Amino acid sequence: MSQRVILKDMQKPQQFTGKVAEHILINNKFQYLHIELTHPFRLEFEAGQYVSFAIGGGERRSYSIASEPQIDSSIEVCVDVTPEGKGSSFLKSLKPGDEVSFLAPLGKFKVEDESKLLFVATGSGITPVRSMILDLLEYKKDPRQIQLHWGLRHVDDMFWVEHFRKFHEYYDNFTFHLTLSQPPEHWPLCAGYVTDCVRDELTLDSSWGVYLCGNKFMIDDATKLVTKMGVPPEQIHTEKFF
Amino acid sequence: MAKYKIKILRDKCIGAASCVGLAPGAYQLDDENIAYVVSEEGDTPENILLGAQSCPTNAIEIYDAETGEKVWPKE
Repeated sequence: MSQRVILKDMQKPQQFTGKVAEHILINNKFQYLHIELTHPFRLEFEAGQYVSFAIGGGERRSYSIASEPQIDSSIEVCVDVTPEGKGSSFLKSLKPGDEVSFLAPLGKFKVEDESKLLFVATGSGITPVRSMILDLLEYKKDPRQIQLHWGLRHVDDMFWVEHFRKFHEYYDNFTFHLTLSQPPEHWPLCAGYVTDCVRDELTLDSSWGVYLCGNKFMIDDATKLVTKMGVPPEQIHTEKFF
Repeated sequence: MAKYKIKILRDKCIGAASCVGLAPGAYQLDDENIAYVVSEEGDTPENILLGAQSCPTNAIEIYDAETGEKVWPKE
């Protein structure tokens, strides 16, 4: 019989309504939505948490918050619409002014107190990681060593890359690596799976906290890799619903 | 008597804990980070249902305790 752990200090999620302020088709794969809260007007959350949208017909879908917690009057989400499931079709259909309702804040994918931080994301798995990195660098001025490895498939899928490159140039403690699994000829950066790039670029030890968000294959592969490098299991944090 | 029977699908649970946030008297996580039922009467029926509906992987099934009819997820 498993030992049972009582979680008592979780913030109680609430029902929110909001209005779509902006809906941008980033490219053929990803869409960005900015939602202004209408009731309640403020959402207190921690970077890395997600919301659960009511998508009609009594169904719900979960999406991580891309914006930083210091902006508490709105949320931003970024969605991969290529699966064309009910959730992505619902979000794809939204126009500025449309009303949405969602439960928030949800989840416990949050930055902990390890000495060094490694974030590994694939595709729209970057969403909660963006919130965490904005929170750490821009607001908390966190001095810890922070590495971000992000895997996308094609050049055409790229977005927010300039944003992370600027952080890489500006913050001495932040390093950004972009990996393309299907790169064009003469691609100068990492090519292949993002986990292979982590293996080539980094040596980890028990001082690292590792944050994984993206496809299941990457999460399984990266978990094995970082465990082998000496990162304790309790310092490997995952968000698996992407 | 509890309004709902709750079934946790352990192989689908990813330990996101949204159920715990919404109905902590009904759901908690064990040491493997998997949800379990504390009590089917541990929270209001509304919160118990919302806890299941908020699960990102539909790892919680809710049944009407009287009729046995599946309430969530909808087929």
